[in-house]
Amino acid sequence: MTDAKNERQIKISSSDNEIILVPRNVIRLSTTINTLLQDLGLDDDEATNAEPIPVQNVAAPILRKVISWCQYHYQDPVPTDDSDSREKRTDDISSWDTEFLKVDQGTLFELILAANYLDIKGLLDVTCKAVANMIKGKSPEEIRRTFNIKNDFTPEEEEQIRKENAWCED
Amino acid sequence: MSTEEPDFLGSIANCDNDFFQKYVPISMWPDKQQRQEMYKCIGGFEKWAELNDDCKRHVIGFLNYWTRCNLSLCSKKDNELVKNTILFTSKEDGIRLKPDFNFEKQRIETLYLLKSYIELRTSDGFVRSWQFSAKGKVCRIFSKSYRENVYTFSNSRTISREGMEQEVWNIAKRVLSKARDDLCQVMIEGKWNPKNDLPANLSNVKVVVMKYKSKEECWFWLNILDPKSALDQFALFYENSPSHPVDFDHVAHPAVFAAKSVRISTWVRISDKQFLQLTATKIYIMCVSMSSDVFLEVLRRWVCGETDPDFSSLVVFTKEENNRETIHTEISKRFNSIPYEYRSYQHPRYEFFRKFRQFRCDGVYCEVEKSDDPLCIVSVLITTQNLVMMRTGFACVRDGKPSIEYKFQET
Repeated sequence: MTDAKNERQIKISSSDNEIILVPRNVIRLSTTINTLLQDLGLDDDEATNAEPIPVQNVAAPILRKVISWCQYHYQDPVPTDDSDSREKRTDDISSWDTEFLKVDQGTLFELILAANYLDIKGLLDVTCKAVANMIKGKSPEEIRRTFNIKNDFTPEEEEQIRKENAWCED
Repeated sequence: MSTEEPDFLGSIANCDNDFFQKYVPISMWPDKQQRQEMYKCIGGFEKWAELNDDCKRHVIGFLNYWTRCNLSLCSKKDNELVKNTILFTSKEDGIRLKPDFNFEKQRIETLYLLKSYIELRTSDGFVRSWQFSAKGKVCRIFSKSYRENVYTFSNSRTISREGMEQEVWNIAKRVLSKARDDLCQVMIEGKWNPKNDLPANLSNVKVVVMKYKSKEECWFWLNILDPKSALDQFALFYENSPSHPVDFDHVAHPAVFAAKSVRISTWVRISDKQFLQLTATKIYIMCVSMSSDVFLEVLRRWVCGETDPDFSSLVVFTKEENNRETIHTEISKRFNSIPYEYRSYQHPRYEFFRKFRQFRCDGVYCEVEKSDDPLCIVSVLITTQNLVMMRTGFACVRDGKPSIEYKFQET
């Protein structure tokens, strides 16, 4: 990791109005903030944003967690586009990310929403992989239990979907 | 993570696979304990319902096909999301797990029931197939579903070789039950004689293409056709010799006699009576023998307007040599005909030679007019082993005068 502390700092404010300074290169992982800075003409080296960039949908504790993820990953190679047709892997969460994701489910939920809002692909991938791993290999009943999903199918509708599945597959 | 799901936790914790080992540096691998602790910390994901659709779709994007099927059964919302999440990407668009195919309303129109292959095709271009591959004591079944640029899925499973025949009929039974009255075309090249418990619901079948195997198989498939409904096409093929012909009795079904097109690409023994019962406008048949009287009777029926006005062609291959000159003389006597010298290329239309080149060149050729319409013509070619009658001359107006336009049909 290189030290990003001496680089240009961007001020961002959380939904609960906490202002956080984040190095420009670190927050570059967020497409949303990148686009905003460019649109506001604040992307030049000399530009300073006196007013913080509001991140209305993300509270300070989550925003700090997001920034810490970006801090660790901002020098990673740019993720490739998902245009190939291979099944996507979910078992490649790194050791650092595994530690990072030792959070309660409420925090994981907020992290997914934040990654989606800030458009940080790497973070969205890793958090969604963690959720996907909780679904894999489970029966519908087990998934409903783990995810607290209310079954709103009538028995006939459920049977119909099972039939549809069976129609295509053996 | 609840303690009641140890297998799940174990399966995640043990996921050190080749891909991970190849692409992630060893220093970055989480150990089993780390992974267990992570999922223990998270402890489930009861907020799934509160997650927005974008995020849910992103999660679903990481699921394999079977898990998506299971998730689709959890709730209506999840079902809809799963259906609309891209499974694979294609050049033109994403291929989704289950686009709105409305599977239950798909009509199965075509069934291929071949030796080691079954395929169905629906009205909307959906194709489902099963390929059986037996080796040693096992049989692998490769099943594939696709609709071009929209959907694709394949799967394989293994059964015992002994169970192969039963599995073929199980699948055929499922397909025929599903097809109900929608099935229009069947292509049959069976390895085994069909089981009697197959649904007998081929009342709307219009096309039957069959490789001859046995009398029993022919009877089975033809007997479940509607005898009152004429086929559009009946085709029978089989490689045999004239000395071992198929008996036409094996396919003598009312739907075959009334078929619009009959193509029998195998040597058959057919009686004169049976031949004259065929009402098809297009016939291609390989008869061991055929009397000249039958051919002359077919020609007479056409000349007198007793056959279907859409008559197109009759092509007969015979094993026994035809007496060309006798037949030709009879034609000249009975009908209004114009002879042409076939072997010296004396015919005004060059297309004629191209069309008739497939038959032996030792024949006699003439054109016969309809009794009540001299502008309506059939071309007749008689060689030692072919009797051909083809609708070629049609009335037209040329330079303001009635004339004949020649059209050479496909046989």
